[in-house]
Amino acid sequence: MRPLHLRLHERPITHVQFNREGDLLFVAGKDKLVSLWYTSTGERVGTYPHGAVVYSLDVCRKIDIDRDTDTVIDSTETDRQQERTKNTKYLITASADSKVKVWEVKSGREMETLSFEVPARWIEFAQGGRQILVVTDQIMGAQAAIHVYNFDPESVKKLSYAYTLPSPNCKITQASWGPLNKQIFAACEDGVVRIYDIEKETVKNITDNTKMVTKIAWMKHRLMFLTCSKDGTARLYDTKTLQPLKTFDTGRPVNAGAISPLKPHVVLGGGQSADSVTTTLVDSTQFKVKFFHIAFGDEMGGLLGHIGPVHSIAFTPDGKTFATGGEEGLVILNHFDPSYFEFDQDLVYDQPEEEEASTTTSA
Amino acid sequence: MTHNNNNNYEDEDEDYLIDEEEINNIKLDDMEPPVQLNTSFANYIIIDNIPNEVVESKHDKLKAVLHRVYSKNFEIAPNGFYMPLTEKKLTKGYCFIEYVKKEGAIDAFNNINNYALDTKHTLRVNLLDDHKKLMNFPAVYTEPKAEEFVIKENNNNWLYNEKSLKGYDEFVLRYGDTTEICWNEMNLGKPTSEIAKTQWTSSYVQWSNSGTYLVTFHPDRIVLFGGENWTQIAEFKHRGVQLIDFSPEDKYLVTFAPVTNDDPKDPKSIIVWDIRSGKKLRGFVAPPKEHFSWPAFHWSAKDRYFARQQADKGIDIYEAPSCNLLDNKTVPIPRVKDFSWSPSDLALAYFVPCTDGLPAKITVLEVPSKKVLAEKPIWEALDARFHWQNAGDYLCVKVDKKLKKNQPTAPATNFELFRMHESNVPIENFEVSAQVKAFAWEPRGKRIAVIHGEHRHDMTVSFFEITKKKVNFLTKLEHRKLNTIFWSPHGNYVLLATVGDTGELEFFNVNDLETMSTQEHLQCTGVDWNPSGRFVTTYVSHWKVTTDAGYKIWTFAGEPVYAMLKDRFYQFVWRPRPQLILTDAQIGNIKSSLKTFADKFKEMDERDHRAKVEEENRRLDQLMKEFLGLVQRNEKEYQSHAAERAKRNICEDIDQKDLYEDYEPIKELVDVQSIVIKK
Repeated sequence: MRPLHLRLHERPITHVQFNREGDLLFVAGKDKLVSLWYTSTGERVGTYPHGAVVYSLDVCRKIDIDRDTDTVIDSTETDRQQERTKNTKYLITASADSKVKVWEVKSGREMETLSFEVPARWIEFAQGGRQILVVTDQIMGAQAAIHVYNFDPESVKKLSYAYTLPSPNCKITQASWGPLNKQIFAACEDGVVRIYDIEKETVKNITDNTKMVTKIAWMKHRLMFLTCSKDGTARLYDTKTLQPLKTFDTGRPVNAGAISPLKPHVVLGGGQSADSVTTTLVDSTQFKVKFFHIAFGDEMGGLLGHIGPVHSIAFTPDGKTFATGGEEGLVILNHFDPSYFEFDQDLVYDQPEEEEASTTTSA
Repeated sequence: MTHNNNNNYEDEDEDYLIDEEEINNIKLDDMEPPVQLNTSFANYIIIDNIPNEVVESKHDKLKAVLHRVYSKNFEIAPNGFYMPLTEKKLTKGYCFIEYVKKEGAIDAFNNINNYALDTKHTLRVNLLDDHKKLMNFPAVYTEPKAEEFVIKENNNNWLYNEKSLKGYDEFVLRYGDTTEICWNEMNLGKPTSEIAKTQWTSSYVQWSNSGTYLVTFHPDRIVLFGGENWTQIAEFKHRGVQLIDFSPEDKYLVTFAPVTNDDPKDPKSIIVWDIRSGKKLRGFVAPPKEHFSWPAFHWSAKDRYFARQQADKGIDIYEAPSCNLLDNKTVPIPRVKDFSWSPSDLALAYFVPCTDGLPAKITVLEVPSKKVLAEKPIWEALDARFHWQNAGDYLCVKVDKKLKKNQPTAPATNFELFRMHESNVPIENFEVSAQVKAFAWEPRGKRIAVIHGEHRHDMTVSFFEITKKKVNFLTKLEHRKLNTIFWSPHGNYVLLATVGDTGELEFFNVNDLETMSTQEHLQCTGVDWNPSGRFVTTYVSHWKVTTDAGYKIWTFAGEPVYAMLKDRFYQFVWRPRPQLILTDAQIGNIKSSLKTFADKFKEMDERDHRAKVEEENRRLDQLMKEFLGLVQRNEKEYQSHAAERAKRNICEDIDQKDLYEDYEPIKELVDVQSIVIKK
């Protein structure tokens, strides 16, 4: 393991996220900064200064590229690099000063600002990048809500209001788009995961958790999802049927989780928040990042390093690297050793057709 | 039709509203007290067998006689005498009497019954209220039906369970709303669940002393579970029950519920039950709150007696199962401060503190003979603590003496050692030169562990051994932060721990006098030894500490075996096993031929283990296969949506053409050589 400790943020990390290719890492923190890093070296590219605590961010994964011109481009190295930066073009952030901002990743230029009445907790691009959702807080008499905006990269005014979902009357910690943007999954403070079907305008509830649901993490292709909860468990569900598949019990509040796209592993992080622990009785094992086997549900191991609760975990799309961000402001970027890739069998997504064929012939 | 219905509802609504208004205007004073009809005939008696067919002329005389007889003790009501007559004015052989008070009727029934009026006529009195009952009395005797005998499950079956015979033990866990019973099959690396139920109990669970029953608590009763399938064995109804206590051999159960203003005639605070019949034996009034302690009754060995202290007056000893006071009186011991039963013999020890002129006294009393077995007067002693060795061989009493002036703390702690099973019960005194914080006997052994010291961060643990003639000092561990002693149930090993604080653990071998291992379980709130003495558990209960609740299982030597963290984890209790019935000689026999046994069992264990591992691998393979099946099914569906995704411009996977090798060009000067080329 090659852990890189990225030390820049002086206050708790709220969100870590890779771009689609996994070569860039975005980090949001409570010290009013969003920072950008190279995944491979841990070198800092730049920062996006904000006026207030940044709660969440997302990067645009795919911008409309004219496919015709795409084919014309001569594939020299420079051109390829240009196109890569094109792919990660826009950064959107949600912050405590009730603002949502759109940034150009490459230049660090603030493109647009949208103001709300209450702090924005979570922000996420829809798949395809044509819409975004914004979760606003439940304070000062305002109801927590999920707002959806259209995102048009071509026009000058990029964000235009689309609709708002009915409030669940409790704080929403995170909201995320379902497969094909047909649903919005909302993690709520009362332990319920609410699933809003946008077309049918119906709501389904998952009420397995006893305490606040802190995060929803997707498997590759959104085939399954993981809910993390303050009740010390993370639960895996089938996205299509919403059937609970597995429960991972850590005994400590789970603040963040991620499913490896490569191996049958789930990574969970959390720990008691600092205010509920007497300072003398905390050891670093509290904040261990734990690995679980996704099918067996067994704890396999853990990584020490954080000295505060872990708030955000993200895998690169190739599953070879993952990043964790903690309360103490530290971001750890872990590149797995070759031994990790030999240790467990890979997740096989495609049906092994040859095997099927062989069984039919033998039969 | 529906229209009509609607109308009806509206009408009803109106009526209802009016009613309510009227009710609101009525005051209680406006209402007449309701007339109550007295339908009871409690004041009446009926007298049978008076002279029959008496002509009218003699009626007055008969009446006078009867009136005189039946107004002997209580006054008969005016006109309270009625003698029904036939049409021919002849008596019918019975009459009625009404008394002024109902006591008169009861007195007549009890005391003036069977009065011989003359040789032929013996008067029979019955209460008129009983008339109905007597009339319905069947004339023919019918034999009561014998209920069919139902064979009850043997509650000790669990000891014959395959796993139980192999030496695995069970434990019960309580977390969240769930109660779970697990086997510690440690060769699998983790406990296996036997049964898990939610809402099994409303507060906590408890094992009985022999491990036969699992007790669950409910608002109005407690329930005993057991047998092979964890079925309900018995229930004991006691409203508000909070605490229970089993007698040492699980024959009786004592339950407690806090009752304010308990009725001394029918007390409901403390109830003693017979477990096998499920019958209530007797209720007791609980002592006032400031004197209350649990268990309220202390049981003697063999479940024969139970006793409690009667503040300052003496000790109440009750016999089981009759629940009557032994010899119908309190054992009078003025100013008694504390007492304790021997765990093996029918004897108890008690302590009377000193007064100005008299020394304190420790007495060992045999029950039921009340013969004094041993007695020791000690000057200036104020308090005493009894520590019995669990086989009843020794009794060690820690004695607190009056402090002299200018002495903030006692410089030393005195112990009186009673050798209970030696002739004449020799008593000797020994001293530990510091304040003692904890004391524990080795189970069935001759050794004592003591924690003493002035400051909680700098304590000393000392070990003593009782030899034939004196108490030998063995060894001590200094500068320790330990506060509690937990002996293995089979002795030889001891776990020393800091409970309720930082959770230091020290595993000590008392045979070799060496520390085997030191560990830590942060904030540990409790320790429980497995009945076999092979494992020990430390746990953090959510009742005391809200963070990181869970448990850890260690071997006797302090190697970690298993750890579990659980949100809202409350309880971990090993299932006790019945007391060892082997004698010391038999145990010695087994120990000496251990090798021959060991080989046999080792082979068996290995075979089991291989089978278990194979089964586990199969299970895991199956799980993985199912999981991958699900993943692949979903993925297939995902792939089928490719067109739709393209339409929405969703591209989640990395474009193959976007892949590139990332490298850093490194220039490194390897070597510089200067070669002279000849011209």
